[in-house]
Amino acid sequence: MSTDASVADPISAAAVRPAAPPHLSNTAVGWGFVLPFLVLLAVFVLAPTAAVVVMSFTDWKLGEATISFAGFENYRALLTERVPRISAANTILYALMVTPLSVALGLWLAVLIEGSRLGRTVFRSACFLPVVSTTVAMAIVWEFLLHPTLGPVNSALLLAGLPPQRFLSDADLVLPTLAAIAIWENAGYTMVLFLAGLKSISGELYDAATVDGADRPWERFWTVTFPLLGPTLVFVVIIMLLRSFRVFETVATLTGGGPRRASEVMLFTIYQEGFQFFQIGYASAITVIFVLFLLVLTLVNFRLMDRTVHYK
Amino acid sequence: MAHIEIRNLEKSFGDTPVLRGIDLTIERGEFIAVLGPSGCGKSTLLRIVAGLEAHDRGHILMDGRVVDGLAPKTRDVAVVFQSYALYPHMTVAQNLALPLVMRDLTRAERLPFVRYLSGRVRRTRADIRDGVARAASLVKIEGLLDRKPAQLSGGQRQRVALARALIRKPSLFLLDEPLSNLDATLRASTRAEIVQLQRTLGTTAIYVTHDQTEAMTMADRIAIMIEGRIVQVGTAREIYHRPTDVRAALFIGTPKMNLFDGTADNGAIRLAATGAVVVQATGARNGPVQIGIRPEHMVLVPEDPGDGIPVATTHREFLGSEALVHVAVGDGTQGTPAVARLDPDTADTMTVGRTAYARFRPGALHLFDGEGKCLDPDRHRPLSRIPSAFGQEDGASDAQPVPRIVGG
Repeated sequence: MSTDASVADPISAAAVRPAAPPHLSNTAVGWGFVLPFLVLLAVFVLAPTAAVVVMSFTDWKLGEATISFAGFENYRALLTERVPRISAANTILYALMVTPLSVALGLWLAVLIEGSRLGRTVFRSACFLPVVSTTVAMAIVWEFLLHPTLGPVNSALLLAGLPPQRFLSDADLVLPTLAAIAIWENAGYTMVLFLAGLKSISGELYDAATVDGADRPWERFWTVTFPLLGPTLVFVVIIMLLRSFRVFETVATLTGGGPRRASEVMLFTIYQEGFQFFQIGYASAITVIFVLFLLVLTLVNFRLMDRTVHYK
Repeated sequence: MAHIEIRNLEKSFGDTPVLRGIDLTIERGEFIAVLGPSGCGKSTLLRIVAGLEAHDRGHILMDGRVVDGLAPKTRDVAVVFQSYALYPHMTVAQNLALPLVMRDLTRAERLPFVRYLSGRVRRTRADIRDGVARAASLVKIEGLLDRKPAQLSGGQRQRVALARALIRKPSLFLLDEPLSNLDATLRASTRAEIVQLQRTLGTTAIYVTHDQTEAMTMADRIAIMIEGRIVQVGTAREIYHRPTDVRAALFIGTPKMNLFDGTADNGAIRLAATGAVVVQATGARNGPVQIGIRPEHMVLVPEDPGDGIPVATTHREFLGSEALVHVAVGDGTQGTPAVARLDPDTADTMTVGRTAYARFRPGALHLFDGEGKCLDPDRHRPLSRIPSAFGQEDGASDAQPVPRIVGG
């Protein structure tokens, strides 16, 4: 009876047919959906990474037809040569300046904007502008602003009775100057992340704090705002660390690593070794070490901060 | 414990008036419920009393002292919030300790290392620990002090919120729908516990709720608040039996009070649907009136007793100890719907779809004028004299079968 009915009524027979052809199992359909992503991941991430690791064990120079296995020679050179060491030290120093100050400034701006009644949108957009503008273009503006003789910053210093500075060509000043530019750029980014975090804090908690006697701004901040921003803070700190370790544009456009390698940073060293001196094997070795360092740093950071942070 | 006086309180949010002149006096140690539908302004009233919100006009007095504009901590109030508002990053013990830490330690003394430098701070911290232990034992959460709020059940969180409110021994408790996030069984038991706790401590309490059962079972007096006004203040019995406003009458009681359109015509109150005179009220001005009767005061009989109002039986609900019979008054089944609460045996004599006959006990009728105000000039008569349809209400023995509305 039932077969008769399905034959006699093709519409209902079509309606009950499963969406996938019967010979394709669920697993196969699942793989079908994942496959495009896996191919892209393999082509654009895994294969290049593997290629870099392989090249780090060779003496290949860009443009040369010959290639031979070099063992750990590149890694040995990396540990003994001066430039990578200076570069690593500069990068770490730079990250240590940029990360805490970008986070603190962003948090301060976010709390300030969230608490203000007027012009919230205006202030928010103004602070976010540096994030959306091209760093290289902004670097040119900064170059003008910081120019030893023509720059308005030095004019301001002179007006205030202070000696003018060679911000980008003084070995002691160049790294803090680049850090300041990065903080200016990053603060808007961290601010937006913190603003999102602030929005998720329930108003009743602030009311409870007020009734419990924590009603001064500073007390409210430490009792409610800061602890409840914990998860956001972990995320922002890690993002900022990674961003500041990857500094390149400002160095490449403003200082070229100078003066006397005072602003030499990891990505710039890799770029120079690989694409200016054509030492691909050596540049690959630096890259491998650098990536491993960032990976370990991120994991350690996550573990450490995760323990002290409350998640809902 | 504090004596609270709210005088002509007004508040608007932008162009929207939320409180339109609230007057309310709360005696020392009294437990008062502010009952009203959502959006009536009851939570705003609570926040204004707490000091979390500023009011536009009027005054709030605590023990005769005007507290307008004072910060919540100087008003000596404690609030239990609907969401409990526990600090999620602190343990239960830290949550409870916070109000004491903020009150008893100065800003410098609160710094983490100061306890190692100052004996006074060490002693205060020890006192705070004792206070936390005492408050925890009052609500029986001693075993939970080291947990974080996320590790607690809804009922446990609610207890922590209560303990945090009572730890400072405030002179006024403000509770904002504290039971609305609990399941039904837990709600019933927590109701009794909160009342007991409040009695033990003797602290004045304002309890905001939209749940009439909570208000009726917990509070000494209920203030019914509708559209930013308090329409009636009284005990649960007073409001149930003597509603002064039709909105209060409808808000209290399940099922709702039955309400019929009627007219007053030279003292005779007629049901608009049937034209039957249900009561003589010589005091009523001629014009439209609303006639209210509680479901348990509506007597239904299957045969016409002579003076019965014919009604169409539409539905019958058996509830165990009682039964509800739904009827339509006037115009067949399209008439004004009404509910009668009967004992199950009587209800069984009624057949759905058939005509039954209703009698309104004159003494149990509530008459309201066109604005919904009670027409009864005699409404302050002692409750014990209210006659009841079944003779079960207290004082029924000395009830007199007089119509409630008499001349004057």
